[in-house]
Order: sequence, then structure tokens, then C-alpha cells
Amino acid sequence: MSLTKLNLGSFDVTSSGWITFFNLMERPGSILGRLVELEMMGRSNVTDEVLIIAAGALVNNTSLKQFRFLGRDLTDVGWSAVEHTLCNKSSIDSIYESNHTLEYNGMIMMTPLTVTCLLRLNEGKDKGEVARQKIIQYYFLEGNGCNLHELMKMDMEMMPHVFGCFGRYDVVSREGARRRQTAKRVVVGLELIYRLVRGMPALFDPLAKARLCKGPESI
Amino acid sequence: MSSITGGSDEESRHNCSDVNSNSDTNNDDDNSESSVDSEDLYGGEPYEFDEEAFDLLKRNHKYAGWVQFSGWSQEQVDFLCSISWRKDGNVISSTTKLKNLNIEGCEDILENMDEKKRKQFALSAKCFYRSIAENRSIKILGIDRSLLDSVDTFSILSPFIEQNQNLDFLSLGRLVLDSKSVTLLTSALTKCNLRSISLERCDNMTAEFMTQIVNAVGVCGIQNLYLDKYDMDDDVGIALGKSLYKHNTLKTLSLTGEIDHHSQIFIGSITPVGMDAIAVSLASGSLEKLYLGNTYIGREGAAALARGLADNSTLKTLVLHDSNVELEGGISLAAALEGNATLEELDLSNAMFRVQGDTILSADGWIYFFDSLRNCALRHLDLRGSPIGDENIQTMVDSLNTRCPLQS
Repeated sequence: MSLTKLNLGSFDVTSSGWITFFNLMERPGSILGRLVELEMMGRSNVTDEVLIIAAGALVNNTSLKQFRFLGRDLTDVGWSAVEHTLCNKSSIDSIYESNHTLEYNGMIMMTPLTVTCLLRLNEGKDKGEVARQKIIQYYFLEGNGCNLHELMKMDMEMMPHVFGCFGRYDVVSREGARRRQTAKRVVVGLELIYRLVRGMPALFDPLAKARLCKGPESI
Repeated sequence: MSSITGGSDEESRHNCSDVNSNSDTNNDDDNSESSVDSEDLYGGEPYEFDEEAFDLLKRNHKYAGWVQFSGWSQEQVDFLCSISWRKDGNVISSTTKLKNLNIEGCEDILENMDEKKRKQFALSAKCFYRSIAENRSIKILGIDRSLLDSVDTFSILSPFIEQNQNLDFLSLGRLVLDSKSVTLLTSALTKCNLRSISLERCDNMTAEFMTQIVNAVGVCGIQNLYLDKYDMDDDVGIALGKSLYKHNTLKTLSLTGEIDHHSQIFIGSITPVGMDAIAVSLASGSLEKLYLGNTYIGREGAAALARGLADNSTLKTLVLHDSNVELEGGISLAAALEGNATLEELDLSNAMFRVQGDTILSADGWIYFFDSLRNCALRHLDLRGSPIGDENIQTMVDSLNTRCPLQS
């Protein structure tokens, strides 16, 4: 048995107190690091500064699913830190290692759309699939496909998996858009495959393919 | 569509009107009803008791699963008077789809009626209740401010309580109790099949009536007892505690109060003596959930409760939010939980607030508080509104981490 749900939210704790709290949460072995739900409603004094520290504490956290709080004067500065924790877009590896645990919670007031989307994405039970979707959406798509060159470096044996993953993302995106009844752009997976094929014509050139099959000495 | 509640749900209304337009669909497939989630009986919105609801009841339609009569609405009062209950009363008595019926009276329901209309209303209300009494599908019956006096109410509804094997939850609020009505009620309870009963804020709840009611609850093996919004003096509290002592089936006891946020007055209190009697019963009983939120028990009541908790090995949930236990009471409770292996949820939100003269609990106080929870089985700790203070955050977390290993 362990403490999984902690409700705080005091009139006496200032942002300085909460910064201490989240710094302690980050410590290895801290019981706070094993919480599943943390609620800090009331006048909890969660400012940008607190949110940045909290976001930092949650980078490697795989336990906390619900974090409810009321912010005070929150700006993009604080929310950017949360977004970075949920999806560090600097590389594929960093996205993969981002927080895929924290889920959307309607009680977080005025959550920016970008953060809401990431929190919603985290609600998927298959965290591997969540990471894959984030990688496709935020690494390959957001840069207008300019990051596709990363795929060119991969082993040929990986290509069927890549195409399969992109195709599956297309289905997931369409289904998600249908459920939400939104008219968002959904033909993203196929679009990526199209860009990939254009970027790697040798892969589909019969002569180039034959050369590849015969091995490097034939080239 | 799994919702049976309909109400303001436009989709339900739309579907109902589709069904209503087709007379062949009167006999609903029972299989479709089996997909109805029982939680829908509590959630969603009920149909108001009007022509549309009555039509659904006539058709024995599954969307008439939850119907509510509100005495606050003049239209509904007029509707109740306009029905020929002698002729059409069998609509309620014979329907098999009605699962949840709420009747909400109104204090001044008769004030604006002339004598003739009052007589007509009383007659209609009696016939209305008789129709309910013959029904055998209702699982949840809620009556708040009965349309009839308590003797008439129980005289008519006793057979229903005794014989409706489907009745699961009976909720009665703001009745005026007297010896005859309590005798009728307890007699019915001893023969019923209920799992839960709520008697909220009834006038004239004496120690004698409390004893009779709680004993009857014990006889029929009711698991969940809600006695919310009472100001219990010593005698009533002792009567409740003594009667609870004999129970071995009760799982949930709610003694929740209510606070008027404008006047800051509690409706719901238990004296320390009463709390002591209730706490003593904890040692012998089977209680798993105890709700005392918004009930004024004070630090003395918390201390009494703590004494009872020390010997308890069944309680899993203890809710004391807004209960004025103050800092001292919170520490007493924490001390009583030292080594407790069953309590999983403790809600002390807004209960340990500062009173005049108190200061923020010192670091030593918090160390003691969390140390006391050593080796307990807590999974959910609610301390919202507690006077922690910046200077005690480090202490709190250190206590949780090292001094008070709440996890095994």
C-alpha cells in the first residue's frame, strides 16, 4: 500500500513553499514521486515560477496522472515549460523520453490548446503508441517534413515499420477527428509517406533496388 | 442509447418522440433495457412529472426510468390535481420501467390554494401515493417534504416498503416524526429488502425514535444508513451509538451536515458525549465508511472519535471535511491511526483550520502529525485548507519520505 492521492491547497503556502515542494518531489525515492493524483486547489499560488519547477519535477515522472491546481497570473512562460515536459521536441529521443503519463484534467483552468492536446494524447493506454504519435506529430509534421531526413539514416529493414507506423497514425488521426467531430487536417500519415517516397526515390527505383539487393559490391 | 433518464437530454427527448410516434414500439425489448447502466439511475437528469413523462409511463417506455415530481413547480402541482388518479393511477402502479421516483414537496405548497383545491390536492396526493405503493419496479424512492403528513405517508407506503423486493434505496427527508409514524416505518423496515436508507433532517428526532429506527435498520440488514443534517443532543447521540453497537451488517454511516455559507451556521452537530457513544460502537461494528463532513463535532468530538478508532479494524474511509476538529483534533485522530492497517482514505480538508488564538501548527506539530501516521495504510490524504505554511513544507515532505513511510 502507498499514498497515491494527496490533496493540498492551503491559504498559507506561497509560491516559495510550492517551489520547495516540487524540488523535494524530484528527489530520488521521494514519496511524492509516486503520487498518482495531486490536487492543489484553493488559493494555491501556482505562478509561472512554480509551474516551471513543477514541470521540471515531472520530466522523468511516470506516476502522476492527475495534477489539479488553480494558477495565478500564468503566462506562456509557465505553460511552455509544461509543454516541454510533455514533449521535448529537440530530437526523436527526447520526445520518446518525455512525460507520457500526465493526463488532461478539466479542472486546470485556461490550459492552452497545445498543452491540452498533449495531455489528451497522454490518455492513451499504450505509452509506446503515445510516444510514436508525438514523434510523428511534433517532430516530423510540425517542421513541414524537414525532419524526414532523419528517416533516411535508418536501416532499410526499419522502413516497413516506419511506413506501417505512419499509416497507423493516419487511421488514428482520422478516428480521433471523427470522434471529436472536428474538421482538422487528418491526412497526415499518408502525406508523410508521400514525402518520404519523394525524399528517397532510390528506394522505389527498380534499378536502385536491384543494386541494393545484390549488395554494395554491385554498386 | 443507453440512458434511461432522458430529462433535459435533447437526444433522449428526440428519440422518445420518435418512439411515441410509432404505436408499434410500445412493447420495448427487455434486452435493450438490460444494457442500461444502473448508475444512470443516479446520474443524468430525471423527467419532470408532466404530460410527457406520464405518456411514457402509460406506454411502459424504458425512458420513463427516472421521474421527478417537484412541489416547487406550480405546473406540476396542477398536473397532479388534473389527473384522474382513480382511473389513471394504474399507470404508475403497473409500469415495470419506472426505477427511480423522486417526490419533492414544498413548504408552502398549500398556502395559495382555496379549501376546495386543498381537498382535491390531498385526495390526489393520497391516490398518487397509493399508485406508488402498488408499483413493484421502483428501486429508488425519494420523498423530500412529503405531500402528506408522515402518518398518512407511511400508512400508504408501508406495503410498498415491505413487499417491493426491487426497492433498494429509500430516501425520506424533512418529515415530522411522531410515535405512530415511527412505528409504521420501523414495522415496515423490519420486513423490507432495502440496502440503503436515508432519513434526512426529520423534525422531532428523539432518542427513542432514533433507537427504534436504528434497531429496525439492524434487523433487516440494511448496509448503508444516512442520517444527515441533525443537531444531535447527548441523548440522541447516545441512542444512536448504543443502537449501532449491535449492528454487524452496516457498511456506511453518514452523519453529514450542511453549512449555510451566508450565516456560517452548521446544520448538523454531534455533542462530545454523543460522539463518544458513536465512537465506542466502532470497535464492535462492521462499518467501512463514516461520513462526518460539515458536521460540528469540534476538537472534543474528534478526541472521542480518536478513542474509538484506536480499536477499530474495519473502517476504510473517514470523511471529516469542514468539521471543526481544529489542529488539536486532527493530531488526536492522526495519533489514533498509528499502526492502523485498514483506513485508506482520510479527508481532513478545511477541518484543521485556525481558530482565534491558534497559530500555524509548528514544525514539531507536523512532525508529530505525520509520524503518527507511521505504518498506516493511507492511500488518500486530504489536507486542503490546513494551516501548513511555507516553513512546514520541508518538514511535511521529509516526514512523508522518511519518518512516515506510508507505503509498505
